[in-house]
Amino acid sequence: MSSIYLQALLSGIASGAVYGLIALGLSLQFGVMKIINFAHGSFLMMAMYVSYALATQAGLHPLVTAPLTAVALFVVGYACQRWLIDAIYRKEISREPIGVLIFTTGLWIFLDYGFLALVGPDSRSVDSPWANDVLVMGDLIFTYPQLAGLLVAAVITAALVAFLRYTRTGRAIRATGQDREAAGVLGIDSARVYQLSFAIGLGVLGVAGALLLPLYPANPFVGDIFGMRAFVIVVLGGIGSVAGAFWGGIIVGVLESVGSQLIPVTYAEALIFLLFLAVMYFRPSGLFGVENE
Amino acid sequence: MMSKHTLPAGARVALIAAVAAAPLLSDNQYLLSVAVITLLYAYLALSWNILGGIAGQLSLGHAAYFGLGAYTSTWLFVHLGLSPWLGMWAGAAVAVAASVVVGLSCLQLRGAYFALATIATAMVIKTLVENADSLLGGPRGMEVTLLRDAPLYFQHTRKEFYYAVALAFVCAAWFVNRQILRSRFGYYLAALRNDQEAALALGVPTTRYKLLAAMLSAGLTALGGTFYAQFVLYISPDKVLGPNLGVVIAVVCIIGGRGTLWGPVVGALLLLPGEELARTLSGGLVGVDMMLYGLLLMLVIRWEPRGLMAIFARWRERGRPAGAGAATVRAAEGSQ
Amino acid sequence: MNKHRRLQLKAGLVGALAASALLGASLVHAADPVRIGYLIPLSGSAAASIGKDMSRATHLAVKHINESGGIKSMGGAPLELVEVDTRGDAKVAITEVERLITREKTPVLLGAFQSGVTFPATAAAEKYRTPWVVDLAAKADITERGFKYVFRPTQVPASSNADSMADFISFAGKATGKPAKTVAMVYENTDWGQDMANTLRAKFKAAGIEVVLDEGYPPNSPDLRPLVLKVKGKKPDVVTVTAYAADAVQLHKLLAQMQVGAMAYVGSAAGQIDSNFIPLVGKGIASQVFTTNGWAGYESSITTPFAKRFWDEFVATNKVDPNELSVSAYAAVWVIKDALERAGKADPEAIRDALAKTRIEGTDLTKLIGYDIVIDDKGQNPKKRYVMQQITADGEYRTIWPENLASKSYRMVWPANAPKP
Repeated sequence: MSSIYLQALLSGIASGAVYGLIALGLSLQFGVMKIINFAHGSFLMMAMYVSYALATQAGLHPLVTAPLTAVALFVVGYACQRWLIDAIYRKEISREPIGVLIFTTGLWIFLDYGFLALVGPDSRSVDSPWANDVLVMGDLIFTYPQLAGLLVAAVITAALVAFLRYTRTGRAIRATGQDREAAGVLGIDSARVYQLSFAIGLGVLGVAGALLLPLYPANPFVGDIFGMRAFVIVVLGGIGSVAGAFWGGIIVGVLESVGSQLIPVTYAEALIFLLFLAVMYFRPSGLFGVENE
Repeated sequence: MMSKHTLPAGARVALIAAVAAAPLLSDNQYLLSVAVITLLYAYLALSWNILGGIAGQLSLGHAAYFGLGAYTSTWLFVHLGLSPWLGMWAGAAVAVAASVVVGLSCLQLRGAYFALATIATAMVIKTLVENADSLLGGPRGMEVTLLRDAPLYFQHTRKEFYYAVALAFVCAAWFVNRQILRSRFGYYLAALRNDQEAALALGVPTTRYKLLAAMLSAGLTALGGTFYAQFVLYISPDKVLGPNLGVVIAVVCIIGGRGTLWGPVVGALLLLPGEELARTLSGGLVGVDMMLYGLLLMLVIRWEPRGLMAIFARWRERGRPAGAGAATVRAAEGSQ
Repeated sequence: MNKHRRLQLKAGLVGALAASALLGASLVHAADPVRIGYLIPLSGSAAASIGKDMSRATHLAVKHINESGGIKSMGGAPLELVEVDTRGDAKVAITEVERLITREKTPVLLGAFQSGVTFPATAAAEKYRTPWVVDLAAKADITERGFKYVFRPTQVPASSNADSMADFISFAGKATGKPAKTVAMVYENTDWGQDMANTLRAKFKAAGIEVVLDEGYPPNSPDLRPLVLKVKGKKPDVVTVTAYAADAVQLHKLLAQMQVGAMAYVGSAAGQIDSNFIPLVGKGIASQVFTTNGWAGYESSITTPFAKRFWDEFVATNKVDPNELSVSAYAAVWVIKDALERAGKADPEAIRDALAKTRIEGTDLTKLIGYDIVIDDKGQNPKKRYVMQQITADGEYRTIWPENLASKSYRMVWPANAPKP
């Protein structure tokens, strides 16, 4: 019986890592621009479809589609920020960017139903044998997509954290997030920072989509649940902390996996939200958060 | 303060007259159906406006109050035979109690955090209701006993009944909004909305007023939940507690112009028939109608993030001589 | 003759010609089409892909009926579908019902596949006294409300489906000497899933089979792995999987990947009979699956030219085989046709009365669907039976139970899996 709990724990870590990766992009956007991007889930859905198209049309291995999907989403993110979001963002500046929130809500609906009109409601899965292969270690079983998800997510998070901490551009991004005016005085172009952070956020999401596809079939509304989770994880981990998003994801994954063994699965979702509320109440800056206000 | 955003008197009267006359113009039950839903959302937006607009606290989980109202009155009706006209007040009481709990724990949060907290709370309530199988029917929901024509029990086969009730609801909520906007309460709410620290420093009891706004908003929303239950005659967690509902209510108010008196109504008048129109226009093409809805949202916000009322105000400014009018507009924009 | 007069003459001639043309036309098209309001989910949820399948079958039925002369008692009037996408939303369905009845003036309605939508929408139809033929919604209460205008000829409440599942599991144990002593029940946490679970629970208890896990899951969850892990931990002999398309695919894949090792995985005539199921899970995993089916399949049912025409045309246009859902949708239209023939006019009350007296026995139609259609006083047809099928290693569905309908050329393999380590 205890092996079941161990399996649950490890499976939870594996899926949590991917959840964290999904939340990474959101954390960056939230931390730097203070915007709520409700279309995040829809972009994930888009990433999954791009990866699917590459895997089926070009016959690529699911993992190989990851960097390509990342690039595609990066470009989309850049374009989106530059030509759509920026104009609205500028009009609002301080306080809560409600306009961006509504705009991304419209974008969310537009993308979800647009894809529905385009590709139909059927779920699509990747068919490669790799997706179904398992690694057996004693009583424990892992599928290769799970392992790949964990590994890639960890590597990318580490890379992103290093990028933000040690490179010039990374520090510029962090500076802008902390205090835009001060950063401006130092000569940092906030417009470029916004475009870059949004684009990087979506690029990371692209990788997450490619990792997710072998684990979960794609349909036009698949992004909704993951998007909601991502918000919970971002706040849990702490606004402005990219590493926090990763650990937040792990926590959510483990909570979901182990929690489901103890209580009915239908309550597991509520458990995650209750944890979220508890963190908000006792430690609003999140577990690893940096006070930015 | 807010007067620059209201419609001129002539247009206002015409609007009210047109709205009231609509059911007399056509015997069309389908059109009345759409009109009723539009009025319901106008009502919900007006209720939301008290907390989300005037007090400026962006709640995206108002579906929780809507659902609590619907479930309370329906349960009381189905199991105890209590008329929903009475049950709806019980529903409002439950919602107010819930808002106090939510308020005390979440109102200290700011902006985006608060919004997310409200979504989370709504999801928790939804999950609890979904799991309450024997009490509330769980995911299968509850059916409101069909009585056909029973106005004393908030039911009728003719849509005109619901239209009249919805119109009354909207007028009441509009009136409440107007009173608040003209009162000291509204003044304090505007102050804490613009700059909470400053308001606090000036001695405004921000927490208490925020909580009051939340309670009022929640109670009114719950009444709308009962209306919906009696109109559709079937409720389920998906329909009355879903996350989308909370977002739609907020969006309708924001598109119209949150914090204004007519904004919520205007928002509903544009978006609800618009969605219906998009559905009929797109014919059999699946998904295209909602796609257009999303596009419409994006366009309105791109054009004027403060909503339609602000757009109208700008149009009016173009008609006025430069100087006096422009000054008020600039001053107003500054205070936003 | 002056110009004015000539003009008048010309106008008169044209007018006379037009009038006679119209008269001639009206004599030729004496029969207006009978319009059926058709509600089905075509978007908005996972049910949409099934909705599209069923819609195609419905359209095919209309085509066949019109090709064979329409409604003869109404002068050969053709049928016409007024199709509406419910988006899986009860609110949309109710508004559309009102529009169909009051503006489109359809005298009869058909649909809407999902119980959660059909249940409230039929209440609206009852309010307006317009008859509704339910195609596939399985919620028992739909015909338990004392309504007079709701009819369900091609579907029985979910309990019948669940009965078959439990009865088969008991039967398999007795027939092979390898009984299942424990069972894990996994079902989607909706109307339908809970209805099924309630019956299964009671039947397993009565049969002395211990239920080691009884768990509903939220449909379209991000990750069903924790649930499957829970199932594994209980080491059940048999697992029942009551799930639709995408969830069923995920569940069966996970059950195999995580090596849960049950003797059989028994499905509920939903996700497991979806045309995408075998392609998505692969033949290896599919060969461990049994499923009930409201339709016995090609071997037992395609025995007449009528049935063959349906099968051939359906496969030709849609490139997939029909299943229970498409067959039920197809049959429901023929039931409406039968009622219209007896009613003789496109009037809701007349159609309602005709539907209430429906008695279709021993015809080509009943041979296609595998059961007679006799409407009882609740508007329900109690004659439908669920058979049990096994998916073979070649990816085919073969009926193995009950014995009188079982395939003669295929022998059941029980257990479907090698025994647990």
